[in-house]
Amino acid sequence: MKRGFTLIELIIAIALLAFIATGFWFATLSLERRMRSDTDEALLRVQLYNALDNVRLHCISASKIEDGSLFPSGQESRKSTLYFRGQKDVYNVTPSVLTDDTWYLYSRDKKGNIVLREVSGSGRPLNEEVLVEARYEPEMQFRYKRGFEPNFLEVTVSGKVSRGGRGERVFQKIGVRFWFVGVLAV
Amino acid sequence: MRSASRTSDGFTLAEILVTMMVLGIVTYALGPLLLSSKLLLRKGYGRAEAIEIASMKMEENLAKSYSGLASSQGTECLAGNGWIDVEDNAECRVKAGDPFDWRVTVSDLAGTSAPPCRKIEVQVSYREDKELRQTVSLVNFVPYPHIHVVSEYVRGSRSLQATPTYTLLYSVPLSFATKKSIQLSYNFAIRVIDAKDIQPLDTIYTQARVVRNGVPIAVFYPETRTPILTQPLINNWAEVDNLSLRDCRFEILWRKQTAVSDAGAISLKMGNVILIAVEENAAS
Repeated sequence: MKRGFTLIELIIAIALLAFIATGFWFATLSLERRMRSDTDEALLRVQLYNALDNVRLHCISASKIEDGSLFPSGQESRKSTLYFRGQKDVYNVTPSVLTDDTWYLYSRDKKGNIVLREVSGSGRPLNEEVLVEARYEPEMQFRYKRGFEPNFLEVTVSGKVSRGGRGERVFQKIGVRFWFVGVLAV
Repeated sequence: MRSASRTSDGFTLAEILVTMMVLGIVTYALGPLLLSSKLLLRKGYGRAEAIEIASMKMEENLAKSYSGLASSQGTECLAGNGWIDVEDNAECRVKAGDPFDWRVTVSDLAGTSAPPCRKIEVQVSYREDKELRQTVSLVNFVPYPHIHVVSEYVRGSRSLQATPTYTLLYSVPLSFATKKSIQLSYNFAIRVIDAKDIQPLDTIYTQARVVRNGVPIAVFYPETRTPILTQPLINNWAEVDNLSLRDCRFEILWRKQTAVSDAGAISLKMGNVILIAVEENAAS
């Protein structure tokens, strides 16, 4: 004899399936949210890493630091911008030749991006490269600490990511050596 | 033709419930796997941050001069406004959770015939989980510098006056771990305070030398001779080769030779001294 499901059995089965499906749906949603925030954080970390690598590459061959960007001698101080003259081609360093140099400015633009601006000697902007996007609310900091050598700075960049429903700041830092100039105001 | 001898009832409720229970148990068992992957991710971040601090400390030490390298240690941690040093903020441990302890060890590499070399080792320890602390380590070597330069502006003083016998005009300590050849250049402007009894042929002499414990071990030639009245500027360029210069001093002496005994008064106006010490032979 061939018997089908009773109505009660079907209702219970449907209720159970609905319960399981709801559970799976929430789990998938949370996993997706988590994946998105992890991807976002990974992207931010890549941008922070690249920004610091960019700073290291350009600062090594700096031939002059603009007066306003110099640090007071012998005391702790922090700046959010750095304006200096450096090598146009960072892979071809010629410290005794200034004709192939250009001016660089690390700062935050009006939109909130951390950018590297290439500026002509007269202050005219030539080129602009976004290093960390504004959506991460990025911050950049150049720090001189008592006890550092006069050609050494600590550079920190950070950005905000959403983690578990709340914003959390991710930091990365490096030490930067200037080979041809000091960073202190004499 | 085959008859439908088997009945096909489908799953019973009990079977479905048992299956669901089994599925539930499997899912529950997979939970810790998800948690452990999260833990692994945290460990990875901890390690990355420790390497970041180690790289920073290494770069800080590579910026120092060879003689300025020294062992040190401290603690850093990540607070709300970025990395902070514990020595700058005593509340760091409370505020920021797990600190990173760092240690820089500088040691001399001995026992080789090559020029001296210093090893820098940076170790940063971080908390991997509740009990375990792990350490990352970076190593670098700094060779003894090939060229040393001493460049000094010498301010004059009326009280620093030339006498008929050699007296000290300028002195600076020299101490190098390897043999060096020294090239020397100096210029001194002299001031004639009192020209009484000075004759045209009266002369200022200067001589440069290297002394160890007050005993000369090398003298630079030539000695300069400068007529007092006609040329109140002394210039000299000289060199000595392949000297062992550990715990030595470099000195410039001066004296005046006058026809009339103790004539005139001559003092130093200003000057500059440049010493370039070059390694003559890396293996010497």
